[in-house]
Amino acid sequence: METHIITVLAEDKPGVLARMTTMFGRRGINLVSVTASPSLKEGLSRLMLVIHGDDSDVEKMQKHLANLVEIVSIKTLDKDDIVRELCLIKIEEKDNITRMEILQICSLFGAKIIDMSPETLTIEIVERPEAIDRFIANLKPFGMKEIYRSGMIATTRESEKVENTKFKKILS
Amino acid sequence: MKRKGAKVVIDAILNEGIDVVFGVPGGAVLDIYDELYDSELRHILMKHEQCAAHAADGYARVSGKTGVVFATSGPGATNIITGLVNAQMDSVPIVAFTGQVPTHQIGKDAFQEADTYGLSIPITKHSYQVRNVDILPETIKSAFTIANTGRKGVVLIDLPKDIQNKITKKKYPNKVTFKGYKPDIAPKIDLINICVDILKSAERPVILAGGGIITSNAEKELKILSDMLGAPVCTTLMGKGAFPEDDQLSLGMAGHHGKYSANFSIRESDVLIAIGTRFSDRTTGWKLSDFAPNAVKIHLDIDNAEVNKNIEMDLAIIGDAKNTLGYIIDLLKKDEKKQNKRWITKTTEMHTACMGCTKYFNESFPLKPERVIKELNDILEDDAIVTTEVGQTQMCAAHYYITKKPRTFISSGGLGTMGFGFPAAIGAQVAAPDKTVVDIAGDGSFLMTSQDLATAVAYDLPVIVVIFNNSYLGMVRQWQEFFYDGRYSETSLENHLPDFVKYAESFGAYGEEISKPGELKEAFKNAKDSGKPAVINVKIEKSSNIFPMIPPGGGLNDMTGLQDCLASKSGIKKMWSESKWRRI
Repeated sequence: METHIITVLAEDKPGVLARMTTMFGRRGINLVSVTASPSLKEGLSRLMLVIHGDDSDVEKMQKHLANLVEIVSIKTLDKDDIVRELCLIKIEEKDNITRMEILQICSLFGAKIIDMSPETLTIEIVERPEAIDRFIANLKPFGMKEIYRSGMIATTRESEKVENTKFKKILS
Repeated sequence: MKRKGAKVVIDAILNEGIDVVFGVPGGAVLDIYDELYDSELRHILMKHEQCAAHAADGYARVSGKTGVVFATSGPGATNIITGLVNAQMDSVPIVAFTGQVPTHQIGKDAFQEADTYGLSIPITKHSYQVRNVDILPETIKSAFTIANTGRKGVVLIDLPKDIQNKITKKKYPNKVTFKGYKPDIAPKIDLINICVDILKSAERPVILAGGGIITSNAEKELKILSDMLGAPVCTTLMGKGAFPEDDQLSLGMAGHHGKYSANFSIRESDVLIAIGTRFSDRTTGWKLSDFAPNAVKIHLDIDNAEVNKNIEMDLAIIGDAKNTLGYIIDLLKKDEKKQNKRWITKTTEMHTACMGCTKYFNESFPLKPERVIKELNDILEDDAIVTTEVGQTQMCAAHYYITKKPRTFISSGGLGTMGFGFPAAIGAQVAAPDKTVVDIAGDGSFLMTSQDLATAVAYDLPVIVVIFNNSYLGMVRQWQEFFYDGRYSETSLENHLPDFVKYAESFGAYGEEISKPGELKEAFKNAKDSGKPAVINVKIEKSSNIFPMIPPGGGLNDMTGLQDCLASKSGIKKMWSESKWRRI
């Protein structure tokens, strides 16, 4: 079981997202996150779907997605490609020394403090999802009040062209 | 030219070459029905929206055209859901128009408002809710195109009342193109070559023909392929009629309640070519390792998502059945294939033994259902259209009714909807007014949708319902007998049934009751001579069981009840001894 990222171009029409997510539910595909935004092409939305499953789940999902009328293109990305996620964290901490410790951890991970009050710190981090997981693990002792994760977006890495054979199956 | 949205709908349907719709009017479709009043479009007023959907389904299956349904908002739309799921599962082209409350009332729990669009999402090939009348013509054209191309299916258009009233100048387009939907796939030639090589080398080839052959109108190509390869043909339930069942190479239906000859041939085959089937669990059994374990498996289908979904295939070619088979046949023509006469003899002799089943010829009283099917085989013409309900009666008909032509055996395969057969028969009769249409029904099923006898009478549609009456929900009772220790929970319909003869007569239909072998012929003649829709109540043996069957968890090797289904003890012995095939 692995995390797989699929990027989809779909027509920007009402109901497209509902149809996709209903289909995943029906086919038993474990959806981790979905992000949707306008794409550069007129009338088309860019969707990023992250699922948890094995290769056969990816194959199944691609085939069922391809059957939806409003899907224009489907591409699978993997961990070698550029993957990012945005996370906002609110921590309740009044003690100054503890706050310094939190700042150090933030500096180590490249996270920023974007908002502050005597009782709380609001932190922003943009990183690979695994790095965010580690960051959150490091902050656990500090009593996090809220975490918001945006879901992953990804794009192909252009600098190294690596053959992604594990996600391509010669079907027919 | 300025037109109201409602007129756009009626004009569009006529433009598509559809001359009949099935529906029930209501508040949210008053405008559509107002336009219908002056138009040439024929409308069959059904008595329940579910029946309208099933009738459109039966109409589409028999005619090959798109079935069109009209329903109002709220309960009208929710009533067609079963019919739409039924059609979608069996890949039948339907376009359903549902009324909706005006756009400014949507989402406010208005009177007769239901989230029809939301409900349609998981059950249709595609659906629309139109909020701008100027895109209505293009939307309807898209709907008909999507319903009828690629793997056919159901498209729903939800039309708010105010949109039906608004004016547009837009014309109905001749064609629409889609940004993402590109259903025409030509089969890959290199794969065709590989396929032909495999077929040429086959010593025990079997063809499994599914509903896709019928949808694609590829029955001629199927026969040519079978003859060229010397390959016997078995079918799925949906494929019944794709290959004439009185042909020497026909082995009948495969699967759960299929014929031993069909299941045996699949098991022993060395090359299985499956065309236009989705390998439903009813065809494969549950133990998938027992499905064609010795064969190289080739799958020809129009839907890539069905390839390797249930069974791992060795080769898959995506494309239209007729088109793909055309390529294969052209290549095969170049060298003549040597046919394995022993294989043909073995499998076809087995089929003869299956058709020689003692129950089929049984003349005892009370009547055995298999015997009633035999009598129907003797009475009906080759091009008669038979629809079925669901359950024991359906399986009995699928097993024993000798279907010779495509689009003459209409049955709810994927969803297994009781109550489908009678309204589908109405739709079938509308599609084929000169043919004999018979609904093979169980007593439980018929009661679910029988109120549309009123429709059959009103429109002079002389459908003949043959009720196999055992006062039981038979298939459920059979499972309770074998797998639930005979605890017959809620399956007896004793005291639940009307006098079907009086019931039919109360609608103005013809009714007759029979109970002995040989009586059906005259009853049928009386029904036909009456010129009216008819109900023939055939009292059959109360606790009959349909065999063979595959028990839960079993595969094609685990058929039980065979001794009831084969011609003779020596026939059975001969078949068991065929284990020598596995040594080849």
